Amino acid sequence: MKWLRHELEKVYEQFSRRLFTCALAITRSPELAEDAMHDAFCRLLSLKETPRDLKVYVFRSVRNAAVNLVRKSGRTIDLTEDYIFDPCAGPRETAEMTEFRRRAAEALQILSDDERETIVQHLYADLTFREIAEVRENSINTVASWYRRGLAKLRQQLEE
Amino acid sequence: MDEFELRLKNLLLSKPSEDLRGRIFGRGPDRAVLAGILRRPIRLGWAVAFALAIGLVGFFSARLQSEITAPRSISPEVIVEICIVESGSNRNDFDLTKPSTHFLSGDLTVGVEDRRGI
Repeated sequence: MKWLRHELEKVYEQFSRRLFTCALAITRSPELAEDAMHDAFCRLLSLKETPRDLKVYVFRSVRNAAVNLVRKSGRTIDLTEDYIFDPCAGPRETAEMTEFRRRAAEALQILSDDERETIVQHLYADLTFREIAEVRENSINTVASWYRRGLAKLRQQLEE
Repeated sequence: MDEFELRLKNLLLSKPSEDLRGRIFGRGPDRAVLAGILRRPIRLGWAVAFALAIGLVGFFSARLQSEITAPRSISPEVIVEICIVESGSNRNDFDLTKPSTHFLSGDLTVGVEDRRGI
């Protein structure tokens, strides 16, 4: 399906960084996150019909691929690894911002998997609670609750 | 979204490697190279010189092509008409309307060529 391929390319152009960040929140490894995106998009390219909400469908596919890869790899996760944020943030980043980035990356590690993933999906992937609920196949209330709890923990860690 | 959330949101995210797109869709790097060429700034002088050069090459190649392929059958043939009359007297030896006792001596060479098509 040429049209679907074109649409997927557009989704990739628009959301690749956000999809990668969401996959990273699960795999905590850039290599595995890329593999998850690769697997998910290859599967999506062979679809016979276009999904109703393509954006949500792509996020869900990448998430499922990431979960599967983590399950298969069984690799131990380095909790101190600064993996979500770009370490080469550029010359305009002040020392204070660098420190905040480092502490935020650390603080994300102390959250539960659900809380961290929700924070990343809402704050960094710009998904609404409704979209996150569809991606995760959970209720909006549960998602909102994960987000509130995660944010409170981050606030406590970073503002103390 | 409060100030704390905005501060968190403003942190720059990691991004996937450049070749991931190519690995998924197959033709990413080609497009990237093409986009790089198209985005390169071009000086006006160079652009005009390039256009002129292309025009000249096109003109001369078209001319050469027309010379090579012109069919010979429609080219006009060379037509030459020669009429030489050599006579030793002032008489018109070709006036055969009257009786005459004079005859031309020597050989008379007459040639006729077709001038059709002019």
